[in-house]
Amino acid sequence: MIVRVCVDDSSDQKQEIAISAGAFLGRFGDWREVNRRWIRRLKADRLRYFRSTEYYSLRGEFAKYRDPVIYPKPSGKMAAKQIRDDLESILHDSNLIGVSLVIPLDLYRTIQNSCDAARQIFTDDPFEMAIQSLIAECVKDSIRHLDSTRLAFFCDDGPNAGRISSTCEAYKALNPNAADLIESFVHRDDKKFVSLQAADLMAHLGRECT
Amino acid sequence: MTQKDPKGIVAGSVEWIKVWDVPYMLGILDHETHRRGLG
Repeated sequence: MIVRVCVDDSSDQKQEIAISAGAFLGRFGDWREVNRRWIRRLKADRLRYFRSTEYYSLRGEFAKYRDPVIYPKPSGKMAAKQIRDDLESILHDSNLIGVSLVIPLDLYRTIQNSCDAARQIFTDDPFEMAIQSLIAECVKDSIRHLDSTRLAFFCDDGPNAGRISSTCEAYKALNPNAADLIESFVHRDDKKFVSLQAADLMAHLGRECT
Repeated sequence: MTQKDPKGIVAGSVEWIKVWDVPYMLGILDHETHRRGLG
């Protein structure tokens, strides 16, 4: 048995407030049911995929909700929110486990600049630390709650894909015992994979908590 | 790390949201300083 872990990251546009890494963990059967319901909900509004940045800005897949004739303000925003609420309900009803790890960036930079050692440890890329910390917490969850089930990680194939992979490899090199629980780490197109769209939603939810 | 209560409908399926705080970051600093011999 393998648990699929779908990971994504989120930050404010200028990366000044916080960065977060979010994930949903689940077994194959749990993902299958979410997948079916998620796609059906999107199709009801003729959407192909969900992506938080496009939802918030009403661009990309959500651009049609900006049409002032069909959706006079604020009905477009409300229609988009109804879709996100429905997708959240699907996750709520599922057996998937949502997790999110958040690094407040003002705090991060204060500690980073506190001494020479801190500057070496806390790199200029807090994104790497967020992903590595999330992986570590997922491994702990597997040991504590999932009978040390091996974890298959997925993330989207966007601009950060290479950084996420190298971060995972660095984590495995530093933690050989934990590495045994990491079955794989692969990239997929988030437009085609519901599980990655759910991870995107989770990463944003974590950041909203700060 | 500080554990936060998730907001919104999805909260029911969320196991945890953890936010790095000062004690946690100082713990990382202490641990890594010794592990890497930076002290």
